Amino acid sequence: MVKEMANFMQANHKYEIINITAMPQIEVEKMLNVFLLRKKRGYNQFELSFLMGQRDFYVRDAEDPTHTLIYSVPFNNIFREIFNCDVQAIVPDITSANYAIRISMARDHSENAVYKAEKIFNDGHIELLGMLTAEPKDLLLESSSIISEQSVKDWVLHQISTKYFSEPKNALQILKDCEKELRSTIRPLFLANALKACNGTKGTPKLANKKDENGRFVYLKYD
Amino acid sequence: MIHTFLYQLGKMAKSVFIFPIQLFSINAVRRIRIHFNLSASQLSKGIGKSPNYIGTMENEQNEGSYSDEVLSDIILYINKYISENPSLELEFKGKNHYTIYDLYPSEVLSNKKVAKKVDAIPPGSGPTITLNAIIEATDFFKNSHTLKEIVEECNRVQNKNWVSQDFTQPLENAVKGKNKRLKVMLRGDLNTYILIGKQKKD
Repeated sequence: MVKEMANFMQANHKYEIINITAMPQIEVEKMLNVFLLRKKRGYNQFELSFLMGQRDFYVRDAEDPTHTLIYSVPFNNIFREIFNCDVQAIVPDITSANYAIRISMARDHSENAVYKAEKIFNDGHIELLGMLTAEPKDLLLESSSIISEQSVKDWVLHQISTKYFSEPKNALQILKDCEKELRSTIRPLFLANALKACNGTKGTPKLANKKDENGRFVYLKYD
Repeated sequence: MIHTFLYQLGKMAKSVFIFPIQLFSINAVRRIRIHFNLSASQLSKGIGKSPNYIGTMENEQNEGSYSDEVLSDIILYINKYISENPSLELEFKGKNHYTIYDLYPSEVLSNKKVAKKVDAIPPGSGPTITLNAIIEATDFFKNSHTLKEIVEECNRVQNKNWVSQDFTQPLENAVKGKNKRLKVMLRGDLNTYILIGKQKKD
């Protein structure tokens, strides 16, 4: 975040206000609320996509103000589980809003789009919400987790040797079970890597990965 | 006989499944609009949609559900409707303003899809919603009924022990104003209530 702020300060003069037509205002604001929740939790875009049970770049696309992808209502319920929050933290109440959202865009040195999201209050003051950019899959944001990647991998391998994966499980379920047993928060990226490594090659066990009837990727071991 | 069976089979096969949170919002919108005696087409037009939009969303055979944008539009319309009609009976004492959170559950629900089941008469509702839902969704008022018969029907539907007094205001609301749905007819020396033949245009 500090680095992003520094970039913003340097490139501030290049930002141009854009008119968001890809999604309704309420969806822009909801996306920004989720963006702030995930930043606070230290999840990168890929990690949140993984926990939602969606494709790798789902959140990256949703956080692109020019992309038409929005978080549909069922995700509000999933976000409440992921971030352990109430619906007020996710869905804005536009009946009492005393501000408008402003999005500006600039290009960084690699010509990638950087979006600056701000709240413009009726009394004129401006609050910077954050900088939206496409994040690399393996970006490690600041996190309170102290559990190593190897510990997560060992936990997954142990579960595969039991009946844990006999029933299909989604990423969020697995993360919560892992955190409960290891008695600490874990990085979703470590879990995603551990699950992905179980592909049946080089003597590793094999986990199947497919979307279930509720539209989320689940992991299952075929005996 | 076989045609009836196939028709029933076809109807059964068309059951659709949606997420509990979507179903919650659909039922919450229905409960509030019925309380305020807003027809599905009136609410649809009020939020700038085609007249059959809300009816389609409430149709158990249709996979549709509301987005947050539409839920917000619904809330804005209902709040405007309440402020423009100060004599309306409020759903809860002092509650003259709704937010989108009134259309969301307070608890986290399951993320497993369930069969779309929209209750024609919202279960556990009070006299106003029960009466308005019976008017809108059943044939009960195709024939005229006395107050006593109406109370009996509402008690039967909701398994309650309401008395005539509980329906004085709801019935008054149903026979007056631009949204009136019933008219009073004399049967002997008793007042009875029956659907207005041709609904007033919204």
